Amino acid sequence: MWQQIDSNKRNSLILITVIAMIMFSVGYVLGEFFQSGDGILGVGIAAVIWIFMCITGFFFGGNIVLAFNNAKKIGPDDHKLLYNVVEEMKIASGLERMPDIYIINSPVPNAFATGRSPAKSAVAVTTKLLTLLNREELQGVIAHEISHIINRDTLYLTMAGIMIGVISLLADISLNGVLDIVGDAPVERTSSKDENSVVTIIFYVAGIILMLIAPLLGRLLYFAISRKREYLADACAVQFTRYPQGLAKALEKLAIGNYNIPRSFDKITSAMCIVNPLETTGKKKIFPDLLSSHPPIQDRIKILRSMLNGDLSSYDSAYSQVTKQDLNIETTPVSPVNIIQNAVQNQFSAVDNMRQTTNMIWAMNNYIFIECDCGTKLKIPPEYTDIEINCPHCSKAHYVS
Amino acid sequence: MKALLITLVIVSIIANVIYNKLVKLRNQVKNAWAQIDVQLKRRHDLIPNLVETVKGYMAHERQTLEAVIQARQQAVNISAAGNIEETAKMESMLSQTLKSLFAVSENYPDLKANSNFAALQEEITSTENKISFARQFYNDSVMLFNTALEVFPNNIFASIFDFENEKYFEITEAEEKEAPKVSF
Repeated sequence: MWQQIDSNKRNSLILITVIAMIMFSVGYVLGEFFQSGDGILGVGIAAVIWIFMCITGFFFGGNIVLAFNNAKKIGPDDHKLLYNVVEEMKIASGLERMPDIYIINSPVPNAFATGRSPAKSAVAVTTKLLTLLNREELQGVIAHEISHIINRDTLYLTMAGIMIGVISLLADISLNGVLDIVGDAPVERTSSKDENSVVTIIFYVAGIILMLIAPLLGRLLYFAISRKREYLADACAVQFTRYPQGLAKALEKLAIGNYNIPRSFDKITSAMCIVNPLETTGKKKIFPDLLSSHPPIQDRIKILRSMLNGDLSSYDSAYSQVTKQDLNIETTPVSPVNIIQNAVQNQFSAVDNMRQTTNMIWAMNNYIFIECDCGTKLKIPPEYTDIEINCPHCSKAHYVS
Repeated sequence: MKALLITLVIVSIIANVIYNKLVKLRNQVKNAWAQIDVQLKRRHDLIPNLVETVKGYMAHERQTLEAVIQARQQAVNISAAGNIEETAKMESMLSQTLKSLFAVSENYPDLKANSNFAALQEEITSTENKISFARQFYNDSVMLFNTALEVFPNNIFASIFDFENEKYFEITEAEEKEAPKVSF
């Protein structure tokens, strides 16, 4: 597993270096445009903006995303099942510290991971996801999220995303300025030497093209990394659970479409979710979207369903079969022993699941729980201010404490 | 002369890097082994609660209940003694008896409705899963360590530094690979 991380860290670094080169080129060209010879100053300014945004992103990024979604942190006793599932995955993956677990009260099923390092990470899950999936499917989803944390995806994708932001920022603001300068330039700056003016014009044209292309190029690279990382996270999730059908079933349930937690994710930040929150339908598109942060969900399901074993090399071969491309996961054979599996599969009841989840949400929102003698459990919202309440079934009066 | 010196320096740097990596991986293996014990102890502590909860409902399943208690006691005793193979065997037997207990509990609808029992069942299931995953992680760590020992540049240094292959956690008895048989 760790070799896996090393080789993909290397590839990510290469890709991110390329994006950084684009960013610095944009800065350089800008500098040259505004004051000839100040290309280096432009690079410096681009670097400063990037560092500043990185600091904000690293130290506060995770918290910002969680707060934006009204995520509530839960402790070990608030939702035993979820906590146990995450703890099991923590053991299987060798994560050094138990991630913080957050729940988002939302009618769309989705989950995401944040955190700049395994020592400081968080996993968030929506209530709809909890009621929709049974234990093994939930475990597959959590394994996928923890894979993102272990593979440092949150780190790389945050850095790359911030760079894209800087590129776009510089390109947008300055494109107007550049066009102004270029409009005047050839007349004023033409010197006595003709070759000089031709070079200058070529330089300006190249600069404009760079400004137009750079954001697009950066985005294409970013989304290419992001898609590949999703496949890798699927592969590692299977390696942790040794049970590809769990994640496959979860994705099938999720494939209906519309996982949009309203207005809380944009294209760049959506990379850490299990399914693309900006996608409105799960149907396969004729031309796969190159600007999509997630691979098509049908492909992901197909690969998982066609795996024979639960290891990385099995995922690699399944991936090659389904997509006719190479994923090139540096694969190592997985430990040979079949281990004693779960003692008992709990019966999955959708009603029980929903009841447990909504009870937990109400408990966190300070609802009062009263048990009546007839067997009904009364759940009273904090807004209720009367002293007494009558049971809706047997009309017995209870005191509200 | 100078070339020899440079070669020596490079070789010693490589040896250093490899040695450190092997040490880290071996410690990972030892840690993973200890983590299995943590989960096993957790299970030992949970079982008495389970039996108490269940006793009232399953009064005529005395044999099954006694089998669970006995298996647990044996496992605790043997793990205190420290023999790894014996411990593994006893813990497997304990898993088998727990499976039988849960299979039998399906026959008692009142028991299933009891929220304490449901919570305990979730806890025991989770504990069994954690034990499985801890063993899985141990085996994965062993695999990584053994691979690191056996690949080319490292295997030269491995014997010099006296590193040995670690053993996988394996099931020794064929009957433990079968699902438990429950007859009513």
